[in-house]
Amino acid sequence: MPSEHRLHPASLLFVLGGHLRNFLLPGLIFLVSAGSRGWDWQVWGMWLIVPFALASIVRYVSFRYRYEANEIVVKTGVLFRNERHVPYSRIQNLHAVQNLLHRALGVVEVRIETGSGNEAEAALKVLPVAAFEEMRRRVAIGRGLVGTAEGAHAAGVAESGEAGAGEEVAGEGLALSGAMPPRRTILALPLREVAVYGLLEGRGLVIVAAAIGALWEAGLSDAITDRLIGTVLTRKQMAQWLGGAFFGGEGLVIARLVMFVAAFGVLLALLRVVAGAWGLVRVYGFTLSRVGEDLRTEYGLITRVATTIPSHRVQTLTVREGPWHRLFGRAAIDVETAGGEGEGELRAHRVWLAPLVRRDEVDRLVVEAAPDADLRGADWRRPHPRAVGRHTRKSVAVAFVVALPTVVWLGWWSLAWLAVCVTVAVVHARAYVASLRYAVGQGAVGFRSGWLWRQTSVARVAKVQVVATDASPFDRRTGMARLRVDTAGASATGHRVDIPYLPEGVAHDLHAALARRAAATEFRW
Amino acid sequence: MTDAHHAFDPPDNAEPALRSTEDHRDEALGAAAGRADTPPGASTGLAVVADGEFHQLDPRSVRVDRIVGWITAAIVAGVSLLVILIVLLTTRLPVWGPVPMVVAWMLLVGLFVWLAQRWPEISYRHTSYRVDGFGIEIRHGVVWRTIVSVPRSRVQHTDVSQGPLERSQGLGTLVVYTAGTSHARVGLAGLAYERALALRDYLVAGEGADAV
Repeated sequence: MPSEHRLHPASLLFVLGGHLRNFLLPGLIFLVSAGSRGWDWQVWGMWLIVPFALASIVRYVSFRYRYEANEIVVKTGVLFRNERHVPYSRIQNLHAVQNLLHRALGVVEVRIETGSGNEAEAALKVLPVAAFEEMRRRVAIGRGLVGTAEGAHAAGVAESGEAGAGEEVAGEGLALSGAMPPRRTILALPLREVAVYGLLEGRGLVIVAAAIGALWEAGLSDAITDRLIGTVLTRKQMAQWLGGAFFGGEGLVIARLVMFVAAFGVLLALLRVVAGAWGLVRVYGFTLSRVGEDLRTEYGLITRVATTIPSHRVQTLTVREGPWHRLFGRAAIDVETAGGEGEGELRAHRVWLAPLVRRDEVDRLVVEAAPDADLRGADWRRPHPRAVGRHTRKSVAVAFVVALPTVVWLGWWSLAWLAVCVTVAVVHARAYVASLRYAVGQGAVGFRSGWLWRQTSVARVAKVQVVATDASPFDRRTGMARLRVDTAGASATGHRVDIPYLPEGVAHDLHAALARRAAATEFRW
Repeated sequence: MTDAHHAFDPPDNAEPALRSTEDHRDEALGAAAGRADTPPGASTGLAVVADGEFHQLDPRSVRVDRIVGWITAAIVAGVSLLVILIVLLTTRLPVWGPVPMVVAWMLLVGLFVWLAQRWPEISYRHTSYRVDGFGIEIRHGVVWRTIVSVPRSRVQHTDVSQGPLERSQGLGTLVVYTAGTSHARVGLAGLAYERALALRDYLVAGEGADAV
């Protein structure tokens, strides 16, 4: 019987701390915001923390895990016992987070993720750092041992001419020796790059939005606006007030607009500084390395995060370049991974391959993450020549829809607003269509769009699930079609391979070729 | 490989149908494309379904859709008539007041009746599917046309379901599940029940038998 391991004693501290935060913080906010009304049932509700705390103590005391030949076994519970077996081969990621307190105590919070279901298979809160390293090593070896069968299978697949699975044989072969495969650093961001990242990513806005959201949640914003304005304005009144401030009353409209723009500029600059600091803290010391078949990322100044991307689970890659990125010749790369072999909900992850990378290094990283996603030699083609006309008409129609309701507040000024909207629509449509490109390579299909924020998505043929071609009435009138390539774990909002305005014939050929190529590959999670 | 080639016994029309969509990209797509002409792991009995030709749905599906359409039309007619009656009884209107309402009601019901009677046929003409060694391709849509291809190796599992109306006509609905996101579930309604079962057996047989 292999020996059992327990959590680090500091676990109690963190678990209780978590409960305190969950219960006390809302309670405090309630006390502040409710003020004079005094104690209410919600405050008494804080006593609920006691059973929760007891439960977590029981959990800590009873928590055991051990390593078996093929799986890790996690046992919890005293009265209601639970024993969970997680095969190494299913483990997709050991996600580790270390905040400041964790680091001071030399512990780490670990989640074992298998890719199926919405929750992690097991959360180990918290382990000594040495135990985490041990777990990593065992999981890597365990996966390698399980890989022997798969490796042989993959070899057979490769022999019969399938691309994609072939590269993985090497990684699995390495693990056969039983030792940890060597670790090779692919990308390490120096401090200078981290600073650039902070400047380029506009996450300051997110922080401000989150702060406002939090205030709103706490019901404090009403109190603040009450104090400031005297009455709570409805949204419509607010709009009228803003509109009046600009366009009504005395003084030059232009002067006010300039003032407004200047103020906005200062605000943006401030946000950049905040974002810079925040970015620095977040991605400090970012490294991407390869261990056998896995890619590993580690980052963070105060809270260290370590996460694993099994490269065979990479479904699509997205290269993002905002206007600032291009000015500085940089890009960011995200990968979408999906996993799970059950029939339950699929867990999708969009994770950084690189938060910031020099433009000329993008291809190297993409190929490193997914060798078949190599589109370097591919021909990036444009959509149908008449796409510009169609997209322009569409955006102008949208501009009208956006601009016309302003008649209510602006009167004749809305004509000027309409002119602005239409101009923007035309410029945007032309630039957008000019930015559209698609490419088909050996083992992947790529799509690029966007002129200010340019995004390039590459879907691996071996991961393509469904190929669909749509033709709207407008498409049919102009002989065009839209090609969509569906992969596992694609987020609803993210950029994906969804190519509009293709010439109909090209779309159908591409559709047939992709569907057939996908059919010829075997899908492995 | 030779085994798979031997086992797959394509009807005469399968080969040209596949070739017709052959395209220069395939060469660019590499060696796998050449091999892709021999569809994987189809046993002789199952391959009958995979003839590589476009098929229409079962004609009985038009009848089922019509019945559904008529039921919908009846419900719409009844509910809107009720609303009109309530309005007429509770409000004071001039003598000609009911006329526009009745006209609007007749137009609405007429539209639904027309849709119920005609639409299933139109929709039927625009729906077809093709199954070959690579997988299933479904074409549908009258105004917005869609072609969906699900490679056989990507089928996670399948459902064949039957509602009461479908059962009375001996029809069934095939639903193919993939690991995709926007197309995680691809359905094909209005198949003869036996046909739906045969398609399911063929599409699911890919697993295990699949020795690409």
